[in-house]
Amino acid sequence: MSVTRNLKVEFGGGLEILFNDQRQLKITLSADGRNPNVRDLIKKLADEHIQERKELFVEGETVRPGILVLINDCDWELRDELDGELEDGDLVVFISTLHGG
Amino acid sequence: MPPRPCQLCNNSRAMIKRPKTGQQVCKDCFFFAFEEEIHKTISDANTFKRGERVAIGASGGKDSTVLAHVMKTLNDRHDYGLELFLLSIDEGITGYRDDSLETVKRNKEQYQLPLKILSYNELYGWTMDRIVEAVGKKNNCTFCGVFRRQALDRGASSLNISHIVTGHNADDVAETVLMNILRGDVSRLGRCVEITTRGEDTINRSKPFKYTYEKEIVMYAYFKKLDYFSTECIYSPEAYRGFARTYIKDLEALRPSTIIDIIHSAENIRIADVVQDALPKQQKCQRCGYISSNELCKACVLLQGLEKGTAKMAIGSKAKHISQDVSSDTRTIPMFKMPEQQQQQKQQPVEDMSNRIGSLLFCERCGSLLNPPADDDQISCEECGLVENGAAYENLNIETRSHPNAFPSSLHLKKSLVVNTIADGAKAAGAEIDEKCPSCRHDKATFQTLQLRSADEGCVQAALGDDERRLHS
Repeated sequence: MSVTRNLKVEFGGGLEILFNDQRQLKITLSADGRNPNVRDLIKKLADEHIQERKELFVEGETVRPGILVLINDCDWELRDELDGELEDGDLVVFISTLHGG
Repeated sequence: MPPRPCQLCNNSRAMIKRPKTGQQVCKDCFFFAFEEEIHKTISDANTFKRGERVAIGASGGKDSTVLAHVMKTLNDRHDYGLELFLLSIDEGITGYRDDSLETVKRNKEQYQLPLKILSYNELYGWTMDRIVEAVGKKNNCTFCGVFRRQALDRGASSLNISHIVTGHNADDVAETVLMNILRGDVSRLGRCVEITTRGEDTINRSKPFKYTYEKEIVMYAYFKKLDYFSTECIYSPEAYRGFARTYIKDLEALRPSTIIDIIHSAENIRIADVVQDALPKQQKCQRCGYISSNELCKACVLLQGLEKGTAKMAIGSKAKHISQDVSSDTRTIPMFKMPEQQQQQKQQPVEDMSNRIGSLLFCERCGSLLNPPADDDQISCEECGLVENGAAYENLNIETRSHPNAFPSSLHLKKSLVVNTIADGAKAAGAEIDEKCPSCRHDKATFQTLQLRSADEGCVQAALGDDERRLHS
């Protein structure tokens, strides 16, 4: 039985450029027999939503160092990072820190 | 997962894991800790003087936007008494800088700070767009970096400001440390971790964010919903810095304290006096008066190259051979003048005061030791009652040097020519020196000195080849 989640995803700090200049996406994520987590979301974004320069977003199964992840405004480092499970309606924000200032 | 409470207030829900400490804190505690740590960095180093005019180097990016916000907040909260300005440089990069300057203009309204924009075109007669047309995309960052540094100083000077703060954060500083190590740039290695770089003929530069992690700056900007611009410069692949940056980020992912550790290490590097003396001396550029380590400053050399169409030559080692003559129709950079404020300070006869020994001050009339001036405007002598102007004693330059042998270390000993050795038992074997023994050809010689004749005559040296210990002379 697959579990499905409807999520809002936002990009900031220049990452939106990788996603066709879209700051927001609505993503439907599902996983078989378990709750979908952040690892699933990153994989889906990398596989289905980035056309070019994927390496600026992902490194292995996680995001490139220097990209912050917030789930409902909470640092993902407090929520089990890749294994953090997602609920329906969650807002996941990815912000790059790598741009000049 | 159950929400964890903030480790500082134990009340609200923790939202952020602080990279420096690993502490889990709520939004309000994060804001407070973030701002107060910067306040501590600033106040521990006595970065600012009351009443000082300070320019915030503003690019519209995340660091300078957060810097403007935090400087304004702290100036109000802790009553620094600073007069703050926004200072932006327009490099003339269409589709990049013109957009980010719009952000700065909005910041001007949001923070109610006066804004000055100085353009490369105004100052050098060249925009970056035209420079890239002339030199190509490969080396243009050199032009931009050299030109921006001068432009900021000149912009500040035109506003009569002698102190600029920039948004360089801990990640940037750690990157710069690594780059200076890789390039073997000894003189910059020490300088790049100082919170303020000061000089007589330069405008002070401070980095209030030198201990502030990039992650926290971005989090702060995000939670405070600050308006910032984040697009990579269209001309900058910035390869070299890019490598250092990726490396630092990888290290941070493994161990977040790495960044602060690198800065701490560089802060503790001491450059030996011998090396210090060998470094190029700072002088004034003969053409534009800006501080320089050569007769012509880098900006004048680069500009001359652009004007003559030999720009590519100006980069790298050939730069020194560029001719000094400049024909009257070639464009040059206007003469650089320090802000008046700073010049007045220099005119004070601080160095000539005969009634000062080291850090001790003595009354001019009766010679009694005076109390060290605190923040008072006047100093009075307790013995004879003479009152002097306290301002004359401000910014005294006190130099203390330790004797090179005062703190012996095993590493130093290895470097010195003469090593004192102590033999077994009571008999001293003498000192050792790197000298080839003429007789036995051994590399090391031990010698002893003996005072044989009267005290004002030289002593007799007896040298021994190490292996055979034969007495040669």
